[in-house]
Amino acid sequence: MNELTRRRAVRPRFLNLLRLRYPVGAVCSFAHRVSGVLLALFAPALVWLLRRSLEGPSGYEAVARVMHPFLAKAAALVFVWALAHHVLAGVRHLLKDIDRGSSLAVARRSAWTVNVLGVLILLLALGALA
Amino acid sequence: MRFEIYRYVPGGGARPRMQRYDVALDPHDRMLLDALERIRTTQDDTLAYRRSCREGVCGSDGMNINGRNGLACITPLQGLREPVTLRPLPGFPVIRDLVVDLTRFFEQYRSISPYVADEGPFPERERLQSPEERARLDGLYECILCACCSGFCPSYWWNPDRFLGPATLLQALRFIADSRDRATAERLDYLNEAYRLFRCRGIMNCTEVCPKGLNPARAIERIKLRMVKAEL
Amino acid sequence: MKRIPSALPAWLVQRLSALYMLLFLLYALGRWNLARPDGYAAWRAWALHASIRLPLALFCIALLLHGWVGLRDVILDYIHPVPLRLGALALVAAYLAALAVAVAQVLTG
Ligand code: HEM
Ligand code: SF4
Ligand code: SF4
Ligand code: FES
Repeated sequence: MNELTRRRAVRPRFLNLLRLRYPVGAVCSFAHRVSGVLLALFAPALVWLLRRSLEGPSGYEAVARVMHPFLAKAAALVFVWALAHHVLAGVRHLLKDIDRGSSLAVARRSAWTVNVLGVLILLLALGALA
Repeated sequence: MRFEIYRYVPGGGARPRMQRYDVALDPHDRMLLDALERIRTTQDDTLAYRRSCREGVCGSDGMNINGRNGLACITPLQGLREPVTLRPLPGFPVIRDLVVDLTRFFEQYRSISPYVADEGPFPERERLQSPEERARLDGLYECILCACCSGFCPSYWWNPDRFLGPATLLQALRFIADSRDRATAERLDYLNEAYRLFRCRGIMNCTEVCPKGLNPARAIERIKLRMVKAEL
Repeated sequence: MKRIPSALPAWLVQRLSALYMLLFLLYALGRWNLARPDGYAAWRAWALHASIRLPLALFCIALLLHGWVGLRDVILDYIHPVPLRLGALALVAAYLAALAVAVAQVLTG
């Protein structure tokens, strides 16, 4: 290995994610990813709820009861936020895909809108469940 | 004015560190690059950074300024929060201080054949473009390959070796959109792969930091639309 | 030159599945609001009526495809060592397959 290749191999990189300042679109996009993964993790629970609720009257009652404990409510809230943010950001994505709202100014505004609406819907759900 | 600057001088097991500089500016020092020159000439001539045109044309002095990428030469000192924190472009291997290794970046640029491809038959005279055809290159040809965008793209951070990154993809569209180019199909084919183009998640960090006000994110979307149209 | 597999289909599948899921969610929400089934019998009749059951089945298919492309994207971004990556992809595939079986049981039962 000559000197240059050896040096190349040990070159550091600056990539400390906490030292960067993120634009609002990056927040929207990251939350879209997080919410997508959350939705995927929630899917089995939803299928289970659907199955129990269709099984018979006792299953239906059990599902209705499941929604009461604090943990279930918290999970439901996380789910509501994830679904709301993911769908809204998804719509923003689809519009950008067909070249609607792809300019920086519009994209910034739509990112703000999506981020705020996601939280608003979460608050609404909080109000409804409390 | 106070600065915190990323220092890395290779050799002897050296590690990167941040160094503070308090510098008395001259009234003529307007841009961040002026301040760097001031530091280098009055305090520390071991500080390394690239610069050439000092007016936003050559693309040499891209760096991370208070957490965002930009060109030092066209970033006004006024309005910068202190301490002004300077780091090399994120994700790229650091050669020394603020100088990063852009070898792969330019290899990727080369890989999209950045020239008008036409195997002939050649016209007798120059190839004319209508004003409309020429207008399609607006927002594409102005790129100075400063790498600010690619150095702020999360997808490029995760897959710098396989994702081409916003700068190169903007250039790819510049030749796809050129009415004189005859290789559109090959160009689209080259990009139609899981990594080269399709790692882009539309985050738009690239557009946010482009010092020339270009929109690589939109260029990428337009390449995808061209692909869809070509398939139909 | 070696042909590389086209990456466009996966991208399109994600967009089309997203669009379908969006439309279904709006449709189901609207239907729910009109009917507001109360109690087990009403709920079961509502959910298993063909006008919900079939679109719902399609929704689940769209969700599985969409989730596969999406989770694969996440894995390709963050997990680089090949064995780990293949393991993660296999895990996701198994997870989605199990989900598919469960969904099929519910919707046919
Ligand atoms: C309800 C179940 C859903 C699940 C489990 C899910 C999951 C995911 C996941 C894991 C991703 C990858 C995220 C990333 O790459 O950062 C994704 C991306 C995406 N989702 Fe969903 N999603 C669901 C519903 C929807 C709906 C209803 C829409 C409709 C608007 C949608 C639109 C999108 C779009 C457009 C993308 C692509 C984003 C990109 O290319 O970066 N999703 N989804
Ligand atoms: S698109 Fe803008 S940020 Fe990216 S290399 Fe070109 S000029 Fe620099
Ligand atoms: S829009 Fe695409 S290319 Fe631009 S920063 Fe985001 S992921 Fe990177
Ligand atoms: S020195 Fe040329 S772009 Fe800044």
